Amino acid sequence: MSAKYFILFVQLIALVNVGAQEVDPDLIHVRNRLDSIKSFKADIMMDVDISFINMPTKYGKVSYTRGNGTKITSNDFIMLPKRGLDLTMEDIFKYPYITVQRGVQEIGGIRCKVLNIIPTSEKADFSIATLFFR
Amino acid sequence: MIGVLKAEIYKILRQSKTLYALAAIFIIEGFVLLSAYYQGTEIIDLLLANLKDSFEFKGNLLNGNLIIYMILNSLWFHIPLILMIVVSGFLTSEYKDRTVEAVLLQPVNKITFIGSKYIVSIIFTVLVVILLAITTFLISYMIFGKGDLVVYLDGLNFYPSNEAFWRLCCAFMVGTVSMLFFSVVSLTFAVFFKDATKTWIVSAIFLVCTNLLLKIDFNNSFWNSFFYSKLIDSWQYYFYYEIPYQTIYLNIAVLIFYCLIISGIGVIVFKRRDL
Repeated sequence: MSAKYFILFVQLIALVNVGAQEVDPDLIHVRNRLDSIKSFKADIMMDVDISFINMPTKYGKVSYTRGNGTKITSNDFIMLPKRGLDLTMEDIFKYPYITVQRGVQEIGGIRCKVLNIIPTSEKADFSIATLFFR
Repeated sequence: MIGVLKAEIYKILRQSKTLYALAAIFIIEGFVLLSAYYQGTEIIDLLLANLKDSFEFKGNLLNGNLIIYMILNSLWFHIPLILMIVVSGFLTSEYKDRTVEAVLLQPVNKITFIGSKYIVSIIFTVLVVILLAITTFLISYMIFGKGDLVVYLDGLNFYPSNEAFWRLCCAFMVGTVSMLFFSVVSLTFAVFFKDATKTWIVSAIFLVCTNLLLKIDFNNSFWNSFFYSKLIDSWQYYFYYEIPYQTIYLNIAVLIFYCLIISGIGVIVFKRRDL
């Protein structure tokens, strides 16, 4: 009998813990902000970081329209990875995910809160995303 | 000396072999342009084959700069071969026609005569490379336009159009010194062998051996740095991402020194030899 109560107790503790996991407020803020963006255009700088390729910094423009994804244009010759650039910020929150706090990290002299987003669905196009919050 | 030089220049301008040499250079250019026009995309695909699966390329790499680089690569074999044949002919034809004797019966010093041959050979070589460069730049840019240059040398190197232009110009300038070396060597061979056919064969063998020796590692830094065959590809150094300027300048200086030594040997042998 005591073993049965012990298992029930463990399950209850687990349930309480699951219920206690809250979405980070900063993440909610970011998500809401991203949801509000319909389109954007930006000037971009591209560097290739592959050991056997030497290419100077390239410049171009990136444009995003919700539903159409991102497009990159440039007057220069550019190399774009076939996978990865098609991932938009809204895709990060498209499928269920869990978040993992990674503490604080200093980037460029600015202390940032680091958060990992790990999708729990196999449909997601990424395995882990790291977000930095100022 | 000036009079003899003028006479030598006049002879070159009047000789049909000069026109043949220029025609041969244009034919080589034409072949490279044609092959680039029809097979250029395949060449680029070959260069980027390993990356095509992972990367998407935007922009045109089959442009004038790549064509100029391809024509520049004729400095390895085609242009030196033509130069060696024509330049050695400056002297061998005089031996064949026995005009050497006719000239030296005049009040012309032997050293002045052979010295003017070397000077005219140098002028001819420089003019040929300049002509090659000008026509290459004009035709390539007119047909293929400008764009980034991709070169596979110690990795894949991409150069923006403006940077590619000055790298190509510098490569032509340094390549001229290499061509001068071959011209001087062929004229010295002509001094030794007198006969046109023998000189051409020896020159061709010399050129082939030079290209083969270039690939050989002597396992000795001195020989790898200063042996003549290791110096003739200095123009290629302009296509390394980080240009080794000191090596290039040193190679040019040593190659010019070799040119002086070889032409000096030619002058001495010609002076001592009975006609």
